[in-house]
Formats: sequence, structure tokens, C-alpha cells
Amino acid sequence: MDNIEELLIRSFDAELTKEEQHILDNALQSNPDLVDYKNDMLMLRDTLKSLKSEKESSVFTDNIMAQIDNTSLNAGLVVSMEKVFKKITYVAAAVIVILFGYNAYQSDEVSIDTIIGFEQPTLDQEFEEAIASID
Amino acid sequence: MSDQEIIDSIKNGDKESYRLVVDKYKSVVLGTIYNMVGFVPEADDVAQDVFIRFYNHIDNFRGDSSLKTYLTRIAINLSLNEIKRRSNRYFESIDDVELKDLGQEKDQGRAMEQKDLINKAMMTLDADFRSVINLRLIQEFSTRETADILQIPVGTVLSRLSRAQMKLKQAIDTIAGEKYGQH
Repeated sequence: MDNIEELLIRSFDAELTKEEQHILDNALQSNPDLVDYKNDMLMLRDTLKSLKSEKESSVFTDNIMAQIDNTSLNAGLVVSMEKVFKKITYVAAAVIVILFGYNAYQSDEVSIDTIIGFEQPTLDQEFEEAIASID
Repeated sequence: MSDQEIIDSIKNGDKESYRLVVDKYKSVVLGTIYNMVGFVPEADDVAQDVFIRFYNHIDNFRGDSSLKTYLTRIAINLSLNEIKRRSNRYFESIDDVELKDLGQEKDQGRAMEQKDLINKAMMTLDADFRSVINLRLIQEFSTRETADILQIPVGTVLSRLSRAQMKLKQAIDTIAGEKYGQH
């Protein structure tokens, strides 16, 4: 019975071979239960069609459009913040390079201390500090 | 205005044109999702997600398949995710619906009752079976389109459809037997 039911249901959606169609026709003629089953299945398929899109919210489209607006706004904010951040980074880098260059130029020597602005004590200053510590 | 013209217009920055897409396809997307996840509040969220995702990745749409097919494919995939995400809660909600309906039975017409019965039976099917019935028999996509949406061969659609209908009929008989056998 299962095979013949499967064949019957397949016949709704696909073309059967001549042999399969012959088997199905014979079964339908000799088996009233199968005819009932066929009618039930056809009714079921009709009812299934009626389940198509019964509920539809009227504000659905507006909600989507509002979300898209928010998404675009947020995306735009992120892009403009990225641009601003890039500019700030470039300016800061340029200022640091200028400061380093200025410090190196002022102290007439190139070392990490002079570049970051630490002054090297002179020999006289070191001597005075040493005497002061003895006193 | 054809779908492709609308899409081109959106790609060129005319965001308002997207309203046309949503208005045109919301019923098929909502219908597909309702028949996959049931008439639950989350279904609307899934449907909105379909349209938001499509909008955000609209440049990926090349027009190889129709817009209807493409959106339905997204709807099916997101529905399957939703089913996986809340598989436990899902069965609880069916029980809730059944209890509620027993109380309202007198007020419902025969047709509504029949649809209700089918909805419940649909929800007991595996997602694979539910998707073929939903697409082929409820949304009335062709077998070829159903295969395209589910990205499976046509032969698989046909065999799955046969088994799905048999299982659906069995589920309806079982639920109807339980419901009316008790009275």
C-alpha cells in the first residue's frame, strides 16, 4: 500500500512512466480506499494553498525602512569617525616628528634623550651635584 | 519598473526604492516564515531580518535567480536557524496553542479549524519536509524553483515531497484523533 500511495502522490507533481501510470490506474479501479486516500490528499493540497500569507502587518514595511535608515546613519557615523580619527592620527604623527626634529636640532646631538626632550647635564652640573651631595 | 531596475536604483543610492521590494515580496517572505516557524512573535523578526540582510548585501545579488526566489531562499535559511535556535521552546508553544484552541473551538468555523489542524501538523514535521511542502504546495513555487531555493536536485524535491505529504496526512490524522477522540 505504501508504494502505491507514494506513486499516487508523486503523480500529483511529476509525470509517471506509462508503466507506473498503468499500475496506479489499476489500483485506483480496484481499491476504493485508495480513491478515498486520493481525495483526502487532493483536499489537503487545496487547504494547504489557503495557508498562503494570511497575516500581514501594515507597519512591516515602515519598520524595515526605519531600520535601514538607522543602519545607514550608524554606518555613516562610523565612516565619518574613521575619517576624523585618521586625520587626528596624521596630525599627531606630524607634530611628534616636528617636536623630535626640533629637540634634536636644539641640542646638537641625536640621542633618544634629546629627541624626547630630556636635557643631558653638563660636566659642570654633574660636578656641582656631586660636591653638594658630599656636603 | 522591473525588479532589476529597482535593484539597480537601490545600488545607485536610491534607498526609498527598497520600499517597493519590501511591499512586493513581504507576503511571500512572511508566508514562508510563518509556515516554517509557526505563527509566533519571532516570525516577524525573522522576516524583518530577511529584508535587512538582503539590503545590507544587495551588491551580492547578481540576478542569477529571480528576486522572489532569492528572498525566499534567505527566508528558508533564517527560518531553519530560528527552528534550531529554539527547538525546545517550539514544542512548548504548540502545546500552548492547542490548549488555547480547545477553549475557542466553538467560535471557530470549520475552515479555520482545518487550517489550524494543518498548521499544527506542519509543525510536527522535520524541517526538510516542512520546507518542501511550504514552498511547493503553500507558496506554489514550481518544482524547479523549489529545488533552486533549497539548493537540492529536482528528484530530491519530488521524493521529499511525496514522503512529506504522507507524513503530513499521518500527523493530521493523529492530531485529529487525539483532539476529537477526547470528546
